[in-house]
Amino acid sequence: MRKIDCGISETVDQASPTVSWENLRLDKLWLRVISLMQSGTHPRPVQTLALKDRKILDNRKHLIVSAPTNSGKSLIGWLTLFQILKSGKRAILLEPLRALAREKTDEIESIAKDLGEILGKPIKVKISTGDYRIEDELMGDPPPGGELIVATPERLEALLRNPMNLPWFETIGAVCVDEAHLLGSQRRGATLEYLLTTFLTMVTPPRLVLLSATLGGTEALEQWLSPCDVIRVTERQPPLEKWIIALEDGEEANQVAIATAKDILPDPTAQLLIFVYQTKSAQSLAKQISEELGVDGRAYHAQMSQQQRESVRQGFLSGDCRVMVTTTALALGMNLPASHVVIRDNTFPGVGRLGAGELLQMMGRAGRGERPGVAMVMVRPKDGWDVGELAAALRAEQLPELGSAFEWQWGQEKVPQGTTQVAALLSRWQVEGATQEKLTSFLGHSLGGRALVGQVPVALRWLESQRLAYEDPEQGTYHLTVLGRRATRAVLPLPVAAGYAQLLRDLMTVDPQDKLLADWKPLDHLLVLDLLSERSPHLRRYSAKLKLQVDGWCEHYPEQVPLLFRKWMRGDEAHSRTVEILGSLGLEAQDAGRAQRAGYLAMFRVMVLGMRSQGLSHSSISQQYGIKGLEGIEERWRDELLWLLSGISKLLEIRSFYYHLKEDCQADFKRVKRVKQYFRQIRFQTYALQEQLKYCSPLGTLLGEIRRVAPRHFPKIGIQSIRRLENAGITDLKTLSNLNTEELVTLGIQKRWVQQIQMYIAQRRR
Amino acid sequence: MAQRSLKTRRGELSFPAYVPVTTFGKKYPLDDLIRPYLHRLAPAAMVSYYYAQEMSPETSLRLPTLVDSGGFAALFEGSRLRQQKGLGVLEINRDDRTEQLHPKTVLEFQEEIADVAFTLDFPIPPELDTKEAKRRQRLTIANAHWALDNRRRRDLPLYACVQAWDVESARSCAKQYANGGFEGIAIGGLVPRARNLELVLGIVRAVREEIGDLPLHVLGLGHPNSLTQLFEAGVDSVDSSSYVRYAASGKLWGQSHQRIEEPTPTDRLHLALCNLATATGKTLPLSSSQMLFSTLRMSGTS
Repeated sequence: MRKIDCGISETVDQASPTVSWENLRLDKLWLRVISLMQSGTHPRPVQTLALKDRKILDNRKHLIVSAPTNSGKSLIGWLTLFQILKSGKRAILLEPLRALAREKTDEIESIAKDLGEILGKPIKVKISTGDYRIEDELMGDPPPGGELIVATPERLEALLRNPMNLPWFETIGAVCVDEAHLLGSQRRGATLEYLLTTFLTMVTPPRLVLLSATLGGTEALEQWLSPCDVIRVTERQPPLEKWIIALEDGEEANQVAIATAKDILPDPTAQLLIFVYQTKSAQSLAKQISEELGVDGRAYHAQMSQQQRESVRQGFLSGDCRVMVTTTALALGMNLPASHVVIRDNTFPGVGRLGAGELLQMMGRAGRGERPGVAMVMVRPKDGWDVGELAAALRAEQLPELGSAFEWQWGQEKVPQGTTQVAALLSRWQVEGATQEKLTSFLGHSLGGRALVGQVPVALRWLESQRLAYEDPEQGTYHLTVLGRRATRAVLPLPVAAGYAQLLRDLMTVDPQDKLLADWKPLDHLLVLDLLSERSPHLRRYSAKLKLQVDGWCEHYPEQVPLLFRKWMRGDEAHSRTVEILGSLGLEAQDAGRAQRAGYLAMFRVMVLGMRSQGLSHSSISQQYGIKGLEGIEERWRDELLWLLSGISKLLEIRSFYYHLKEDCQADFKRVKRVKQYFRQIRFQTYALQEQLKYCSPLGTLLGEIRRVAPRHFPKIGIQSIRRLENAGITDLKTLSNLNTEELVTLGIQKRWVQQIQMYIAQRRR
Repeated sequence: MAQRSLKTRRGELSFPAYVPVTTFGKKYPLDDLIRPYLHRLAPAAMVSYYYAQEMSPETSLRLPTLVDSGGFAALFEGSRLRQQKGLGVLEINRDDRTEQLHPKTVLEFQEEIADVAFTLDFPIPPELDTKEAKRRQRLTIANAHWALDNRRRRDLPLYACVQAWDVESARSCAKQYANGGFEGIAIGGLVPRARNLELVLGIVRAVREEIGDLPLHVLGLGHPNSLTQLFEAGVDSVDSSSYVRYAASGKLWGQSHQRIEEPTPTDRLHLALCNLATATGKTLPLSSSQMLFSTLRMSGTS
């Protein structure tokens, strides 16, 4: 291997006189706020530029702030938000990740009281990221004094889909967007751009502040946001040394990474952050480093639970953990002060190379306090980057012009580009509907206006074809159907809503007696969602053994076997009709063999999740079925399904299918009534599933039963009590029934819940 | 000649236009009575910044609303004009407290409620010394440019205000705005000079020469006697409260030798509506003409 020096990032001239906050000629009020937030500091160059030279607190322009990581740009965002809070309006901080949103919320909550005193009004802080574990939505007027909301763009966009929430949006006075370069991101850009377009076209546009460490040319952005100030600082403090480690043929990347770590770690103050592509790489490399170097090296990735990730973060912050190996997907969330950064993978198989901006973003995490950062990118001979090309890019730090996500064709998408935004607009304008011109006019105001505007007719045709929208020919307006409206408001991916609905329509068509609907099982929901989801985890490969295990489970628990699996998917290749189910769902028709295997894999996952929802432990399931890392995978998987189930439950209502029943099936009143009843049953299945999946408690089913038999109109025992029982080692009805009232109360269960438990036990004994 | 107009969020404002001034709050109850008729008799309405604070969703107007900056308060006793970071800020003593009028607060408010906004200007009374006059003009210009740079609402037409003491100073002020990006130009400070029609028209012509085709508004001048000449000189719109002030005194435009001695509120309302209809060229609606209005009660003025 050889090391190539790519220079040192421009840095602040240390010889220049130190400016104090007082020199910036700010109002005393802001000096007090700054002192509260950053006591004992001096203003950084970007802060001086913003506050003194551009006087951002004296003007109303939108802002683009481009400055390196840890350069102090966050303070600029905070001050503009606090200024709006002072006027009594709402201020929003948009963070791309829930973890970052949580971090920022904690930061401000800790000073909210003192901040309120300085600003002269109490400040309320709320987080809103759609995380059911922590949030409670209130859509009223801002509380007296102003309200700061920390949210993800997706969450805020979801709120916009309901026209009842529009008055709430009118109360927003300023929005700060962190990691604003994500506007150009394939995955996140569209939502963020749509949100900003909404703000810009509001009756009274709030002030927009965009922060990023990796913004290239901003001319298009500046024009879009005009009036707009651009505050750009490229000098880093501390400086960053940039290196390439060029590997020779045959050199193993992990060994080079370990050797590099070995060189760095003798310095007791050094801490190393290593970025890799895949989760399993993170785990194996962290383990290798720990074993070979005798240091505490830990992996950090999305397949860990939140608790596990937090533990690793704390370990790194405290210095116990000296090496953290993380995935590039979590680079944004890495707000951890490392002295050294190594990027092991710059090219992802099947995806391509990371852009210079992304690499610089990760490298920028190196450097702490006054200590220069050292960042290295490894380049293998077969990587997408040529060493010379990458060296030039890192030296120049030239970033591409920020463009709209809509300007790119991202490849084969299930849904035409812009369709989600068109559906969201139709949902917002549900009462009056929208002409094509109105849709075009709004979308024409977006950054990628030109590209998006041409997509409107295509998007409308797709929505119509999926029965999610229709045209009123007399008015020339488009409206969402009941199904489309419910799916859009529930933020269900449109292909999922369309596929699910089509399957149900097909069942109603082929079975006029509706026996299939009557026979629908709870696990059918999970099966359909698994087939439609693009993010189902890989638990195991298909094999004859897996098929046997699935079939065995079905034999053992026939009452739980999903209808679809039983009637269509089960069996060997010659007999399985999984292709038909996939066809109904609108999924790509595969050959019978592949479809059959896909069906069994889906059923395997459903089985596993079903068992977990009933409280079986990770270890017993993993052991029995040969699954690795189930505990880490599960949280994200369950969260995804909970979100989808919640959305699906809103579709499962007669009105979503009324037209099909009446027009296509010629259903009479009797049949409509029958189907309505079955939909109610199916809907309630989703509620029960959600409860079970949320808690995954061995007592989860018991909880449901206790609540079911408890007197109506009375408050019912909740999960807290069940957790207390679990913590005390009680995991089944038998153990529970051996405890008397006093013993239960001692465990911390309230008397009224003890009564409910005992009432249930008595019933069971009868 | 093609009809000139200004596009606003609440509809197009066709020129030439007489824009009645109205108020909110308790001070002028006659305005509350007039307000329901405004959308039928007038193309738009002008509200001062000060009175606009009393507007509510229930009382908001159903026609394009022009909101001025409240800068005429610079003429009030006890008010003080200060320069703050290059901008003109007015401190006004009102009801034992001091209010501050800053271009930022004015623009924020206008963006919320106005359909047309006027930048924060400082009238120059006729007898003011030249040094102070120049200062006021300089700060008026600075405020106008600041508002243009900081306007976030793209559908809010912004009029830059000209303040001057003579024709040449008016020309020079207008030059600073021409091609600046403003949607219109407004001339203020003409009310104290209203008796000198030659000066007023001279100022109007000079400004019109500098601003080309931009819409031109004159603040506060709206007596029917001068309207025609103002429009002929190049003005597109004017605002005035004289229609209601005349009515409050029991006078009808076009019959200045007659007045109602002790007009009742109904009399005042009808007179105001008649005056407004005269100014705008509209026809009084049926509901108002059914009000009792007795010309027998009108007496000649001595």
